[in-house]
Amino acid sequence: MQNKKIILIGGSAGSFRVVNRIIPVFPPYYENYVVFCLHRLKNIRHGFVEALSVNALLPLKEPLDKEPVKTGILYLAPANYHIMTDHSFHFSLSVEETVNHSRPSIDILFETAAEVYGDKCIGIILSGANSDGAKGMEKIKHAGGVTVIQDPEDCEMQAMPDACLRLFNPDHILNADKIINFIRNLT
Amino acid sequence: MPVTNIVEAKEVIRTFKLKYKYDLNIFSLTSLRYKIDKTISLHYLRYADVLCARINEDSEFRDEFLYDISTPSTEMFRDPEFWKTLMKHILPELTGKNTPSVWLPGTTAGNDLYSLLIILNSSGLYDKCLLHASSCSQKSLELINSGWFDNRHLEQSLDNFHKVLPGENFKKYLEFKNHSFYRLAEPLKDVRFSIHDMHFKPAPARVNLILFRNKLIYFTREFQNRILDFFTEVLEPGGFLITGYQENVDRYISDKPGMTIYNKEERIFRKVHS
Repeated sequence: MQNKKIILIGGSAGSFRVVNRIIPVFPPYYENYVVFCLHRLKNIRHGFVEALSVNALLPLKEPLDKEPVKTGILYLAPANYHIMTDHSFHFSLSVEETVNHSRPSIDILFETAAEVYGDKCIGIILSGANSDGAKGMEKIKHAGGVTVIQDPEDCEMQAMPDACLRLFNPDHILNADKIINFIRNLT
Repeated sequence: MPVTNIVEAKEVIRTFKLKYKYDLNIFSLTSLRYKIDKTISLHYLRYADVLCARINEDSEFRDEFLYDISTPSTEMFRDPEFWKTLMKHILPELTGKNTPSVWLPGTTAGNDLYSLLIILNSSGLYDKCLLHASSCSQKSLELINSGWFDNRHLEQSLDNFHKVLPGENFKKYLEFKNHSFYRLAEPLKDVRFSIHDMHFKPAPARVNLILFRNKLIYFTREFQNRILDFFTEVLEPGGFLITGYQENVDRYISDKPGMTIYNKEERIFRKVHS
């Protein structure tokens, strides 16, 4: 557990194409934890996991409440629930008020992961039309983790990476191709 | 991360237990810390130690605090597919019996209660069920009975409603006053309201359906299992237990003698007939 990283990927409007390119990068027997938190329609349960799974080499699933965080699975925050990590390395869900008009909120996942996993966190923020994720990324930065944002010039929607830039200096500002290479080179 | 750290949260838990003998360790700690943050913010308390002092010094604050930590905020007719399943499959089967008894424990904002009442009304089954709604907080019950409705959820509730009951007018169940939409209190007149303890006791005498969606997620795994033990015990043979879509209960319930998974997708479980 101590040496494994947790890769947290947040995105909203305009991120789907990049996410679809990131997913096949994770090989079978991948040794790090991977969690995607993507803004999505609240009441559409089916189709999204299936669409993202098409090119995946690892199973992609929406974790149930109190499910342990494991390697070898790509986790996707379920629609209309906030997702957190707790100190026993389990996911915890809630239906509390939306944060930044979003449920799931990227901030909530990233903040709780920063507290639990500290400098093992790698936070990645992609294209998006609101500021969700910026505070969570700042917490990852303060916890000693690595922060990566998609270059606003490369985004369909710049608001989300721009919000990060207003709060802190990310470790890396990369276009989609370089984000994919960055993830590929993580061990 | 929550502003309230683990040490502060444990001090709040300790203070509350000393004062009221209620053990808040049943709550999932991360969720509880967010709820403590919310309470501190709502009551302008600024710090966890000020909250502890308020718990100690103001007995009337007990109910307020229980309300704050037990109230999730979501919309009416959440998960429209579930409500369609309830309407199409569960209610017709239940109402074939003599006046089935439906229990909504941990009712806090009343969204599922009102949604159920509207569906019963629309299906012509309103007079054929006996409804019980209980909460650990008197404030919850008073707010529900006042018709109060968090208008931030109006748009999503409206959207959900039209998926469940297309062609019907949602606003006929609402009234506009004091610049807000309120829910009409009339359908509540036959609901039996009661206060339960933190362990959801006592239960109504006879229960054929327990509606408990997205509430288990706020508790520790151990306490979740104790709640499920209690609910499956009080349920009548042939009765249904319904939890939330992402709640992790399948294995625990299906391992229990006498319980079966009725609808895995919607997390509907059934106690087998003896």
